[in-house]
Amino acid sequence: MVQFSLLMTILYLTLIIFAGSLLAGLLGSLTGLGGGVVIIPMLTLLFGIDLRYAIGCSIVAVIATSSGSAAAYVKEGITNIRLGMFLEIATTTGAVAGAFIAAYTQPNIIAVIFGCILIVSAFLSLKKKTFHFEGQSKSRLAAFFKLNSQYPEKDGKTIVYNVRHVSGGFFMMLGAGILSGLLGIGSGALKVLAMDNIMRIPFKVSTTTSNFMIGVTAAASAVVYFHRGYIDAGLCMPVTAGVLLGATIGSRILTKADTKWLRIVFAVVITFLAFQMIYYGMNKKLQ
Amino acid sequence: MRIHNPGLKDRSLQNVIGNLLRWGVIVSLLVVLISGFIYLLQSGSQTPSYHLFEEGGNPYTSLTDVVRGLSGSQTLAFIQLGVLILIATPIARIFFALIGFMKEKDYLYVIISLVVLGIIAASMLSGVKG
Repeated sequence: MVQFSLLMTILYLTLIIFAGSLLAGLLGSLTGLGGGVVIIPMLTLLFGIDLRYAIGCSIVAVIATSSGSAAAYVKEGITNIRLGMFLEIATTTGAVAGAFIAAYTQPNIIAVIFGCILIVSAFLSLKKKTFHFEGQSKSRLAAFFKLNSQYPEKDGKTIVYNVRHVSGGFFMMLGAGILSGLLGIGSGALKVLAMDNIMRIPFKVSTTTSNFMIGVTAAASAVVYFHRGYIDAGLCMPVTAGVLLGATIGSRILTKADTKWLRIVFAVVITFLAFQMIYYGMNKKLQ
Repeated sequence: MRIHNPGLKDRSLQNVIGNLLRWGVIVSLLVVLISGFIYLLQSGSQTPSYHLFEEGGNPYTSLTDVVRGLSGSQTLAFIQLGVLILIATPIARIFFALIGFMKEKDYLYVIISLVVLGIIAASMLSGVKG
């Protein structure tokens, strides 16, 4: 498959990668999984591009989509900025650590870990979202860090919520940060999981706050990747533009479309890609 | 128990952060697209070499490299500048939040913002060669 793109000129490769990234951004935004999970298998498996360049491109695309959508959410006042800033201590520390681990880890091993995380993400994307926040909580840490908050509903009602298990959520975020730095993904699924299931935050707040944090987390990894030479200008151009355009279109359709079937199809595709990545990591000799 | 506003009390600052994120993305994308278009006109017919990562194969891995490339009118340096603007956008967002927390005299969150900035600054410095 490596030969596939050897026959291409830069112009053709750029156009095809742009089209693929547009599709990845569209699907990523419709299913809530983000663009990174498709970009990396596409670049490596289909175009035979080195995993390190693929990771560098993906992290830049992640920053673009996260910042683009965070702009709208922040203005609506749903994002819990204090909670986001507090947890960013964990995610950025993890991201920098992960990006350094990546530099000393065989790309084959990274490909296998990537595959495993893809399977987990696919599974999580199918799980039914349960609404379980509790009004009462006596978390001292949450009170100390002023994490308990409120957000406006569409009908004008204000919903007050409390945050639980602050330290548990913090450690989970550290893990999400490490994976983000190691694999070049936003790891939004894990961030939402930490806030939903551990910290018991309403779903709307956890998704928007996770999105708010992804940009900073990815920027922390991107700084390390940049110095290592993983961020290639010629390759980042079509990927970033494609993913961003796809995600923008996706967020426009999202409010109208029923995404249940799409989620299932996408989860199957992701799982297939995951096994491909694991196979690739185990059998292909990478530099 | 005191309930805090999810955003900053200063709603205008919340808008500033929202606008900063939006404009950061728009400006960087414009820089990337315009210089990318010129790059394709110049070297679109060449064959790419992305199959194997080469240590030292990427000409733009530090701010100095990019600035040098810009002054030499290297098209790829302009694309990389756009990418750097994108990476800088969320980092600039922390600065603005820091200012917001200072205005509110929320010193706990001033410190938290500084810690996050410090982590990113440390990773920047550790990556600088030489």
